[in-house]
Amino acid sequence: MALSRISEVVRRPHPLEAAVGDTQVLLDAEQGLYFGLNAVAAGIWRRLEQPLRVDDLCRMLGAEYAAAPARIEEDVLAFLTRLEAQNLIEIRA
Amino acid sequence: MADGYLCGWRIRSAIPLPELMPWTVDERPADLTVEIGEVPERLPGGREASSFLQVDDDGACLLGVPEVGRFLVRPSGAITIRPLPEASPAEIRLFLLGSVLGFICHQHGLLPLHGSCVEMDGGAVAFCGHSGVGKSTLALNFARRGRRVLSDDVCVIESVDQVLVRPSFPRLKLWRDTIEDAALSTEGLERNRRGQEKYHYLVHEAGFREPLPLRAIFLLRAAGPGESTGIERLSDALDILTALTAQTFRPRLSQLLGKAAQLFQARARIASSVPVFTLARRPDSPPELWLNDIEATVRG
Amino acid sequence: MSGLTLIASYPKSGNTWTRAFLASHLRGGQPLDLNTDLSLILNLTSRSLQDFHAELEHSDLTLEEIALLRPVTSRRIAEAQPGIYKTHDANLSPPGAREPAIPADAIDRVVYIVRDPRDVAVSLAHHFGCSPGESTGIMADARLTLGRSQRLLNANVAHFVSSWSAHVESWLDAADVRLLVLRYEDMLAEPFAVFARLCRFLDFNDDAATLRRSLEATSFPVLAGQESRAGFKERPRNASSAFFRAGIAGSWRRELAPELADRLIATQGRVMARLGYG
Repeated sequence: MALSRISEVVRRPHPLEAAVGDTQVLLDAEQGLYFGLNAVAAGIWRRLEQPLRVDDLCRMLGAEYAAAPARIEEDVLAFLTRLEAQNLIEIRA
Repeated sequence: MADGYLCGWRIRSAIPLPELMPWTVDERPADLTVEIGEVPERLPGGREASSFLQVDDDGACLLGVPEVGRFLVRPSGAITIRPLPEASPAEIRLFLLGSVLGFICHQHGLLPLHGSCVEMDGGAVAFCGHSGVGKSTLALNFARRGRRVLSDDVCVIESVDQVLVRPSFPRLKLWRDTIEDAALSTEGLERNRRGQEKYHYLVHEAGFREPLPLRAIFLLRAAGPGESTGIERLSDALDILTALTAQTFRPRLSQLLGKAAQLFQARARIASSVPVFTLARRPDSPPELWLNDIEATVRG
Repeated sequence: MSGLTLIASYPKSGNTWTRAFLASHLRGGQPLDLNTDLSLILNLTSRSLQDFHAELEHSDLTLEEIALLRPVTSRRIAEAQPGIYKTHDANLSPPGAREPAIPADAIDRVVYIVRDPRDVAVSLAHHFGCSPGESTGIMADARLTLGRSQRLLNANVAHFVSSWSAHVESWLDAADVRLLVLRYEDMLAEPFAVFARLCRFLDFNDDAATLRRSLEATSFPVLAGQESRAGFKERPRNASSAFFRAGIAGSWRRELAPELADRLIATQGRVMARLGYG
């Protein structure tokens, strides 16, 4: 399903995760691959525990970070696209 | 026969295990038992875990080494060995105290690293890397400096509140050349495998029976032509985790036994709290050249 | 692609050159660093690769156990890490084993490289640091297993090679395998045409400009120059000369005593004739 600002996204349950220093590390045990998230990315990942619409997520981040809404949306979509490519999230609508 | 100490477990064995320190910790019943008996060729309901190894849904492991024998390892700690008549006692112990020890670790959710480990200033320092990279030779050199040897092949790590190394036994597997370079003799030593110029060298005076906090890990590798040599600290979390995964002894087994999450948390705890270094050296440079640098690095 | 794609040959027959070409070609014909980029095409008998996939230390196993283990590990690598691998394994069951180390069901396709055994004898002598008389004898040894030292650790695990003739025929006559046979002499004489065939066989891009770049990046002067400047880590330590030595065909006429050339014809003549080595 194509990702857009009105998509609802949620984490897939399988990755294991742990904090190592200031990196949040995910392990996809099936693929045996590690993923590292910085603080901002880890914040998004935490919010995706519950299904969330992309535009709602962007609004939350807009309240937290001083950046233009268009820029936030662009970065969020790029990040979610990468998570989806690695099969770490599910796009529901 | 007195019970032995193996990684914090009390082991009672029907075959002599001269590698082990005698058990002196407490009066508990044996945690692990070794018996000689019948072992089937196939584990009923077992799956092929890797070459020569089957695992069943209860977590029992059956290892069949074609010219040594079969080893059945139950999660209860009961180990049954069906040796082949031609197998030497050293060959049987090689797999019992190697592969089988690795299975027991995975059954208990402990992290076995493929490496040697010595004591340094009240902590443990592990040396990991491929076969032939110099792990045992380094341990031998540190033993000759009077340091305790916690393990040679399988370095057993418990990582709950603190990252601890549980001592295995002070036996080193050494090639004849290494033994002779150290002005030692192979006389009276048991061969690793029949016909092989690799021997089991016991350093009982270097034995130790208490878990020690893991102070540092060194990943040994051969520097190729043109590459620089030396010690470098790994800083990237993913690099450290990938390296620890690569150095895990029998890694697929943890997955089959349902312990992958536990091992991931153990590795993450190490990556957070224990410095991990790479040591690149020329294949022909003697490992003892590095002893001082390693000690200095550990002291920081 | 599923399973193992093999670049197979008897030792000193042009395997490393082919790997170098493919490594460069896979990266669009870029110049390559011999000591790092060859890892794009791994050595199947590498000890660390075999230890990793077998989950056993081959240094703790006997030759017979390794011979039994290798087919199991080959299938495992074919499943978990398919790709292109170099090997000197013969397609024969080693003593004590029931099947070859790389069984047909683990193989996707095979490129077999063959070279005039008289040139192999010369090259092998330089490589092993022995006399051409000894290397000629090695090539007739039907029981030859490499990587088997019991005295020290070899970078490769034991692999059964057998004699030159048995090695060549084991692959030439392999059943159930997609096979491309390349003669080293043809690779030298007509590199463009032969490497284009190689690329097509492997389903690689055979675009002329890239091919030309890859060939230039891995020409003999370039590879030999790199070795003399930086060293090459796959060269055995007791070798008497550089790994990339001459890269020409027919040097045996100058470097091999006539009686040794005759001995090779006597022992390997039938298979030589099959390949047009008169």
